[in-house]
Amino acid sequence: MQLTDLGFLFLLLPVAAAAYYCVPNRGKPLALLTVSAFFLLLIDRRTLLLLLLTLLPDCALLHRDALRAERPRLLDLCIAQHAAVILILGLLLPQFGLPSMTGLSVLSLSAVGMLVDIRRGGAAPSPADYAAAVLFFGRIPLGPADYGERVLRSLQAPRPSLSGIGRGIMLLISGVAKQVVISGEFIALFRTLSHLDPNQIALATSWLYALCCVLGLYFVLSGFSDIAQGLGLIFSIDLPRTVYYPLQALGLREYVYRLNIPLEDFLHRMFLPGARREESCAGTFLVSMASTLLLGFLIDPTGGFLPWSLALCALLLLDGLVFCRIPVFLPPLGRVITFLLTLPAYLLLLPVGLGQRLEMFGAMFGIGGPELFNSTTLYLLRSNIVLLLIGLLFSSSLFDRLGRLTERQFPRLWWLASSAGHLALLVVATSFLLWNVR
Amino acid sequence: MLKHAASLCLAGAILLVCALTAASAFARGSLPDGISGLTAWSNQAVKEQLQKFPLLEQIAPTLLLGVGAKEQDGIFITENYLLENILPVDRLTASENIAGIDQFLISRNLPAVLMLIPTACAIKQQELPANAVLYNQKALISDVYSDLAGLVTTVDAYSALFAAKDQYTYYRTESNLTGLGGYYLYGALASRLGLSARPLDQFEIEHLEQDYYGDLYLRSNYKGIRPDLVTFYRFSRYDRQYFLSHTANGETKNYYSLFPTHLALLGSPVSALLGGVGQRLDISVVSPFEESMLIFGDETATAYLPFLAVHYGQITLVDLMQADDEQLAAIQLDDYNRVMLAFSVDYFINNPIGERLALVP
Repeated sequence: MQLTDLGFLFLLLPVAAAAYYCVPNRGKPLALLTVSAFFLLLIDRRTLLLLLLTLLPDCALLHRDALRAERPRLLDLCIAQHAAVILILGLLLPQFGLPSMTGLSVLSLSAVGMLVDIRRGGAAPSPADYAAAVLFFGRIPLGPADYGERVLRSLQAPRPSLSGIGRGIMLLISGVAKQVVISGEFIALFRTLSHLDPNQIALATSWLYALCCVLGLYFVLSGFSDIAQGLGLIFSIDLPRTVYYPLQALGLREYVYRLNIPLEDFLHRMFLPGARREESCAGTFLVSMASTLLLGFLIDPTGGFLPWSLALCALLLLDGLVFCRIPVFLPPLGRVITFLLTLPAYLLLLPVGLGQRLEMFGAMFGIGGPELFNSTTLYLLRSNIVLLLIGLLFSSSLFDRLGRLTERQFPRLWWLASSAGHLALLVVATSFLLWNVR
Repeated sequence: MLKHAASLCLAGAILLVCALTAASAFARGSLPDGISGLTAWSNQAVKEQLQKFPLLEQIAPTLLLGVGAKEQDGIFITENYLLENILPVDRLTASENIAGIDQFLISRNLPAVLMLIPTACAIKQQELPANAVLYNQKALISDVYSDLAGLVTTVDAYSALFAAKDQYTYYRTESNLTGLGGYYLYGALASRLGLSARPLDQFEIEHLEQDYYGDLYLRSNYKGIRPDLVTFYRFSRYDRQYFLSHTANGETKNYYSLFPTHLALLGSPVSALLGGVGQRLDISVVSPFEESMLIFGDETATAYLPFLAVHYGQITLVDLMQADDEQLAAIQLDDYNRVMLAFSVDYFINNPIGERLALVP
């Protein structure tokens, strides 16, 4: 099952949410655990089985009040078993062609995060709260990031509200729309471009290809972030956004940070607990690079995104050595330069051999004497101009800022316009979903 | 107050679909087969419920068309046609198939006929947007023919169909040739097989269905296209008796006509054309001709076989991708006077034909 399935959105989720709200607040962690286990069973039963096996010792120890900062060895063992699951089953096995388990790394990493917090002196939660916080299925689209603490807070003091559910539904709808409407169209354009003959590639085609890749990936990641946040709010759980308009980042470190904010925050908290993220030291750059590599593996556990993440790491290195010493006089110009600098990295996602990728890379900079424009590029631009404009517009924070401003100044107007807009979006997204399941 | 009303409205819309779906499923007595079938069941139940609102399905294609996307999900939506834009899933398949056919013909010392049939998208170019990005089918056909020169007799299906590009040679809503398209192919084939093609007026035209919507129509959801006409061409000049035998998964079904029309009532009207194309189809013809032909082909055969059958006593059509290994191993090439390989370009570039041919003894 996928979180954008018609059956999930219109049947299973409403039924599960209705059942969840029928349970009194004190029983909510157990109810959430049941709902999550049910959905995990449908998403990937192997993930559920493995997580239950690894969580069982943790919960047994929590039940006996044995997991405390004073007993670090026991905690280390628990952390080690989850780390081993991530490394072996999440990252290593897919390299040998074995199917990856959906959500395994994400949920195991959140267990690691919660256990590290306890090791550093945090309060140990009850076994039910812990298991519910780790297993919450809505976090899967967020990627490997640690939200255990936030989920735990929401579980321990649940504050269900109709407006919260309303906001959750809006986020869920916009996430689904980003995935099936916008990203789906970019993927179709990407497919057309990747089937072009080498002699059809002009300089503009290679830039269009990179733009198409970057926008397609952005809307996939942003859609996942919205879906996760939306599902969280539907179950009264406050989850942060993972992606924050990376295409308008001012620098390269900011760019990779905005691709998955909590992931870098998590790594920073794990390895550089005292340092500030904004500092420009070797440690912070290393954390940024590790976060980028991990994100590449998250998107494609078989390593298909590895060249892309390595290219971004190379840019980060260049940034640390050279670019960060160049003062930015005009921030908008800095944003454009960052965007243009990162674009070529997306050519590495081309599903062809290295030779052809390099050819395309060369064409991007005019190497090999490609034409500036050709009839193919013009046709593709003409038939996709609206899509590209929509993509560029919605990948900027313009509408977000406008929305927040309206909500502050005219909350009634915001609710009215937003709910009407999201209802329309629901109709459109449903139409696209129906189209996809033909 | 307003935010509660707005939230209720959003939640209500989803809950309404949920309640309607559940009510409709229970009324039908449709229940999931355990937890493993729950996802598929829920998707199907919601889909069926939402399909009760036909306008909903049309929003996506209409919206895309409105923003200038004339190619949707690999289908060009034009004024008169839905044209599938074919693309190779794996660029190496075509070259592997050439090597496989080469190997097959050389190792069996077999003279054969090869016909690569372009799809509508290559022929109906006047319908497509200017500069549309297309797979170069003409170049592929020419490359394949030149690579296999000397080994096979090639048939120029492209020129025959392109010369008739303004005629109704392809279905508007399906990726296949019409009976008329089949006749043009037959004309091109006859000249290469040393047959004298029968003029069209020796065939009686029969319309089976006037409002036929094919697979592309269902895939695209775009409703602004005219339906197709399903037509049979029966040879009427001399008496012929046909015996059709479909073999699939060990079962054999026999028909005493090239056009078992009762099948149209059970399924799609086009299944009445030779009873469709399955794993293996044998056509025996009571006629003065005794020559036999083995064809490795695909569903395009439904268009040209009714014409070709006039000249043969026995024709066997094998779909390499549908036939199982045992069926391929059981083929006796010596039983046939001629062997023909006839595939649409789409089939040729996306299926391991060479690999399957190697299984034929």
